[in-house]
Amino acid sequence: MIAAIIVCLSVFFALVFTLAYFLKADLRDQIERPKYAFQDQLRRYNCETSNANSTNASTSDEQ
Amino acid sequence: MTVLQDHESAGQVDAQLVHAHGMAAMITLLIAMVFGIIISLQFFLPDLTGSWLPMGWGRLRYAHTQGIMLGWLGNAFLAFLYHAVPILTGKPVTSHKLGLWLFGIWNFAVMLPGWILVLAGISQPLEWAEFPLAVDAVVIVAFLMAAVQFLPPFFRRGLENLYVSSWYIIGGLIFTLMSYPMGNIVPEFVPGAAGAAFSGLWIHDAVGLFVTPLALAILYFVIPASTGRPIYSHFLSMLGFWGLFFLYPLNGTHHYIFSVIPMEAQITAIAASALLGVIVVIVVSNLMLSQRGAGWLPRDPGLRFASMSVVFYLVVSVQGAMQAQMSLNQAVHFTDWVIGHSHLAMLGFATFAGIAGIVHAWQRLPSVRYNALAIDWAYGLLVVGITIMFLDLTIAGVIQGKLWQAGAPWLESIQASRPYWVIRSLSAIPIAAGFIALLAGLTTGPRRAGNRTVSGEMPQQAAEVQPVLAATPDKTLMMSYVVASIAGVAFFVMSVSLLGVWPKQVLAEQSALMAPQNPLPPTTAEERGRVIYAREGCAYCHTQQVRYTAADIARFGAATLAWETRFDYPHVLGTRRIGPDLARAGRTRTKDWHYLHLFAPRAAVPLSIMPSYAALFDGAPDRPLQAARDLVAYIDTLGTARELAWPEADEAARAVTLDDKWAQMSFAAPVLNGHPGRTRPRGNAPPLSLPAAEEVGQQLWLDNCSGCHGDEGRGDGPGAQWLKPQPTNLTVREYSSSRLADVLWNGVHGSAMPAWRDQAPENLAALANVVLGFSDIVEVAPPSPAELTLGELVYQTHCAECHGDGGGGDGFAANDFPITPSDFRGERPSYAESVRILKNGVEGTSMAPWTDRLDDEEILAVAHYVRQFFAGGDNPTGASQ
Repeated sequence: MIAAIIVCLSVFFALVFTLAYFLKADLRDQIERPKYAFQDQLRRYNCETSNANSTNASTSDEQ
Repeated sequence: MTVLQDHESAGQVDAQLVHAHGMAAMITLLIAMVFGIIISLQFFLPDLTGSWLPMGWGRLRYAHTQGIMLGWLGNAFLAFLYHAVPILTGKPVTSHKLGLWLFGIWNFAVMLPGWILVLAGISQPLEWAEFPLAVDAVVIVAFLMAAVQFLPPFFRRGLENLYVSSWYIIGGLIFTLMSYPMGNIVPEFVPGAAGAAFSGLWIHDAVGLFVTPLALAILYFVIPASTGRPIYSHFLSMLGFWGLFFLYPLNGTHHYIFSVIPMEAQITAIAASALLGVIVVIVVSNLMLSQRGAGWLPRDPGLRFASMSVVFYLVVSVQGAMQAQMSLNQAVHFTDWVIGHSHLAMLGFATFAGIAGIVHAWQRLPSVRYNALAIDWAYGLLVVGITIMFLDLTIAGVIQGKLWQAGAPWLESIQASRPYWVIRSLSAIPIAAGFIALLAGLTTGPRRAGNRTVSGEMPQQAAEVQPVLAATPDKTLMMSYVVASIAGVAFFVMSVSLLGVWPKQVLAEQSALMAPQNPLPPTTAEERGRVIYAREGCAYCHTQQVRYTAADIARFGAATLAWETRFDYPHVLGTRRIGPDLARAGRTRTKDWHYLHLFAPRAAVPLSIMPSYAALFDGAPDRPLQAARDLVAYIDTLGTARELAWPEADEAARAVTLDDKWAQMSFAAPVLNGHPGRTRPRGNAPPLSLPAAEEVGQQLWLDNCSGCHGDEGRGDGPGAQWLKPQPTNLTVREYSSSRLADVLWNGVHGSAMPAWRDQAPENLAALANVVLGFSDIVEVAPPSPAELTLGELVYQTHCAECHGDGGGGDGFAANDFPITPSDFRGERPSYAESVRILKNGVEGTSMAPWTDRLDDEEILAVAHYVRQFFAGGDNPTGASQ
């Protein structure tokens, strides 16, 4: 009984989420947006790291 | 220039703390690995660390698992969080000072004292929760500090833009904070099977709510960061995230399938396990698709570790979903299969993710050394080692399960496992070498070499970034995430309610219904013994739960009822059987045997792999210290409460639980205590089919009997001198086959001679054959009629009341003795042995020396007389009595 409820609830939530994703284009964009945002954050971090490293390297070279 | 300033100029990553936790992770990993290697060696070198308790198997096992989970993975995750959170949120973590405190507390107030206390014998016998309560309190404080350190940057950013790694980090920290106290503290206050229900939740939550979320956070971070492309689908990742957080907590009870925990709770866990398998396939598919184009063996080391972690995750999760199903669980639970599974989870999936996180962060740290070649070697060695270990333990588990199902003698499963245990230890060579190479990779090589490795990726990353950041957040989505968050917490509460609180209620009701009236609580000595049993990790080799399966009931007796465990704070049900189950061990062996077995296990059981507990003795098995006395007192209580109340209590309980088919299964067991070694009254032994295979018998003898009786049957085995009565010298005796059958089938009650009911009839026949072959009696001249007449007179006057008029050991006083008098119809001592016994008595039995009551002539005469009762191999004594 409890197992059946859990299975049904899980499948229900998954279906609702999936249907909403496929039926609503703007929602789809919203859901997928963070993965692109993350790439942007990574790119910014890598640029900063790269700059910092060049600065550090030149500082240590001077020393 | 300080290190911190370095980070502030590079995305606010706190490199000092990344570095500190990374190094702490490596150090704790190597220490925990050494513990693991020692305990793996002890499987075939059980005397490796002598009897020094701090290096005993159980304590090391506790230190090993806590070291891997909290020391290695905890530090690895923290190192990753210091790298990832500022990048994910664009904001620094709460406080560098708080980070230093967290580092200090995690390593010097959790790991160090935790290990010291566990090795000193202060611990909890709870899986993945072995550190004692005092340390648990500090762990909770540390998790709170971690939450304060890492969560605020996420909440400042807003839920709708959270990347999946952020969700896993938030979920992991919050849910671990909720589940840790439940698994580490609640079982101390909820006894027995009910406590095990909570404990089971934590066993799975430790993996599902702490390790898995943070490992997946790393994978979702490292893969796109290394490939330079976004993950395949954020939708699938979120589907997986919510699926995992909804379903993981509901899995816990699958560690106790076929136990007394209510079947409804078990089935819930089984269903959740199957669903979880589906969710994991979604997660893994997404992670694999996210690596498209990176190749089977990615060039980037962090990505390579992450990629392998994904493979391990798929295998271990599908395996987990399968082994929760009843049919497979029945066969492999308690075996090395499960150990292979847990190693694949912690050492495969989680460790590879942890390494991926550390290596990825290390490559980007300023001013650290980095040795790419050593990292490459680490990868290869670890993949090989862990794969060998996993396959080896899985095969060993299948073999063990098969042998247990077939009812084979326990030691057969030990023997069959030995080669696999050796291979498991050998697999530690590449694993240890891999971890050392990893350490070398992170501490040797040129400084900033990692930076140079990753610098080529950045142009690639820019290509797939879409300009969607400026879009207005969708309120529906935000609301759905809020609702899902609340639902996630609700599912966790539901899991605790369904799989912890509700079973506790049901088990309490069952106990009230089925328990005998006024059962005696354990004595102080038994309680002390229980503490020793717990601290030495006995429950990690010996379960204390006869499961509701035919194989368990046949081997051990009636399945365990809830009330039988109601004084167990915390429970010691166990989840692994290296030795046999002990739920019905009480009154099965003599105290002498237990003392000998604890002091020198192989003297009592030649094939035993149990570590020695000689430290509990004052130099010899017959000089037990109070701790050994307490421990044996405790073992002797196991199963006795039900036995003392039997059969009335069982009958009363059976009558009120007719609708409970599982309880009825326990009541319907053919015998309450089915322990194969338990001694029984004489009689009902199946006849032996002599003659039997000689070689088989010799090996059986050496494996099972030589410890007490000696290799040549002289009663002079290494354990003999510590047993009272001493093992019989078989060279000075003759036996009828039926008497031998009786002794082998029933044992000798009151002595250390156990029954051998787990041996096949042909094996018993082979052993009997060996015993008959030992007999080396030098016949003496037959007695004169006058001697026989005197012997008969003496016998009837002094001996018959115990040994019976006909010498059958059935005199009217026979039942008053703990050890039944000898049956002279089934066994005949040599003349010299008879005289010796009459003069010296038999220590440890009621047979006293007779020199103060009989003169030499009478002793010689009765020695002749008792020998004439023997009827040889045709005497049906024993089998017919």
